[in-house]
Amino acid sequence: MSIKPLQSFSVRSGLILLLGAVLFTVVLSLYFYYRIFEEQVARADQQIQQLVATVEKSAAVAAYLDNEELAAEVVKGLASNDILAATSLQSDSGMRVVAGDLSRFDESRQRFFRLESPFLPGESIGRLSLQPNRQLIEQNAREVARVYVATLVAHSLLLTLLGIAILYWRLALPVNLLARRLHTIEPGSVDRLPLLEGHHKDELGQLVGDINSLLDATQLTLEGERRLRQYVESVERRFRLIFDHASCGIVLLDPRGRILFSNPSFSRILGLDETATGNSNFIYLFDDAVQVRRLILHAVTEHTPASEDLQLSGTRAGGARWLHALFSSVRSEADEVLVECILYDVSERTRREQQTRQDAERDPLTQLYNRRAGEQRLQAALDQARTDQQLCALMLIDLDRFKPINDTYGHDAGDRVLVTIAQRISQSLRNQDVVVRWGGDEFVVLVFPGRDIDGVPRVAGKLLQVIGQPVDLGIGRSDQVGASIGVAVFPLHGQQLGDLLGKADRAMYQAKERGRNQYLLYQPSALHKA
Amino acid sequence: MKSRCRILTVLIFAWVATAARAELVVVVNPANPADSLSRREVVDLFMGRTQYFADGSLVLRLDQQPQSQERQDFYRGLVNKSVAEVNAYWAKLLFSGRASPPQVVDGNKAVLAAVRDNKNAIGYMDSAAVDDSVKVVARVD
Repeated sequence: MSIKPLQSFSVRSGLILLLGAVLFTVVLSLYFYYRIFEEQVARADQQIQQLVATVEKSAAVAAYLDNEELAAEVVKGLASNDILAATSLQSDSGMRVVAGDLSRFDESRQRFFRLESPFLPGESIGRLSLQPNRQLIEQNAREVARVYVATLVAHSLLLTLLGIAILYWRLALPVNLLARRLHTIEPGSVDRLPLLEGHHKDELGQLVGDINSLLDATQLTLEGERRLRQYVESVERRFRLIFDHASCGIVLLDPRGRILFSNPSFSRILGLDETATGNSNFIYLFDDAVQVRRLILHAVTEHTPASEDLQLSGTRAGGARWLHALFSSVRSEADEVLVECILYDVSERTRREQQTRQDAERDPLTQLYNRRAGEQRLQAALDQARTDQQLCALMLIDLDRFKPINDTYGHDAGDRVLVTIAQRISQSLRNQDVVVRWGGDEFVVLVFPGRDIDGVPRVAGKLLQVIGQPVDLGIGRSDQVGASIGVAVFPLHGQQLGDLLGKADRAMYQAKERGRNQYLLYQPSALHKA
Repeated sequence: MKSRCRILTVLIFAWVATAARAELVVVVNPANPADSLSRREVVDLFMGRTQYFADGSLVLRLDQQPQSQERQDFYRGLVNKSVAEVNAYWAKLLFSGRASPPQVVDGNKAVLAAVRDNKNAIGYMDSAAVDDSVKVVARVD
């Protein structure tokens, strides 16, 4: 604490006191000096009048009788007073007696006193002229005034010094001590202000007590805050640890999907550069942006968590990356609704599930649906057709001349024929159509021919054509197979799958009986080629 | 009430005293040229201011006995002073040597005789005791 001397309380107060005292004393001194001077001069004048009163009778008699002896006695007596420089007594009848320093007579400064006849009151008989010793009177007056002023100055000076001393010892010194001590006390420390000797019960003592109470309170508060801060920091560190080292990705989004905050695992799982995550929109990181947007909206509006598996964009079926995402809404400190998303990689699991499903549903040789799964698919397709009020044709395909090839060239060649034919059938149809390996060399196909039944022969013809192409047997030879196809149309020939399958089967047998390598539409009554 | 009664009493006595007091006259020798003197002239003569008559002769002043009623009445009437005050006046002038009090004679008859016998004399006396041998120049009441 550096306070310049001129700014210090004690110096300033002392100076103010001193200045005030000096000013006051100067004014008072001047006033009293002139006042007392005037008083002293007036007093001298009064003394002169008293002197005159003392000798007035004798002077009057002297003037009455023109008695020079008596007059001389009177004027000499008067002149012997040092406040009178010279005196003269004149009678109207011509007598004039003087005493004192005649050279000092000055008409303008003289005092005149009329002398009355001692026997006839009111009758003027002469006058007494007095020359006051102005110099002496004023000198005396100055002397008295000076002594008075000197006393006043000394008195003021002593009182001022006493005041300054009291101010310094009783106020400035303790306050200065307190200020310096308080300045060095660190908030929260155990240091306190000392109790001042002799100030236990006055305002300073109270001030010290109150400041110490404040310091106590500050120390308590700061300690509490420090402990709380340490606690919060340790908790924060632990949360940070969890957040940073979590195996799952954690990301905070705004309702529009912008990434506000994420942990390292998030970038790692999504294969993003950590610095780039801040600018990305979460929604477009995934294959199906609509799905992600829906999930975020759900979390925000319903306030319940929503979770689903999401496929990362830019990953193809073979190496598809799948993430399980859990969205839940959180409320920020600023009262905004934000979305927290927890992600973990489920690609491996998804792949295994898909594999398992495929293993269960597909025929291992042709990769077509096996009969069990195929039935379900056919049923589903039929239900869809019923819902959509669409035609669909169920075709039962049985290969001709397969058995001779199998017997002649072996099972491997037979398998090659089956795989090739399966591929050709699949490639001839559209995605929505269903292809099933029904038995050894039997296939069932469900097609949607369009608005009317005329499309059915075209599809069947095309199938006969692709099946009848030569097949490379893989042993340097190729051969041909044919097919007999029985067709039943929904809803013309039946409503139920079993019924339709049976009718297609019958048509197929009729086609075989008719000489193979042809297709037949189921005919309820008569059998004829379409 | 009491003081008022006293004042009344004093006034009555004063009136009686005045009525009883004899008139005083100032007398000079018949040869004196002055026929009448003003009060001021009488004062100046008796108090020593005028020491000579107009013809240059020294004035012989005559005073009555200090305890006499005439002296008392004369000074009271002339300058409104008591005999003691007048004596103090003369005492003050005693050492100057220039002025002296009047000569004292005993009684009206002595005054009358002295004035008659002395051309420069001036005196005062009860008017009842005056005769033609002196000249009355002023009255004092």
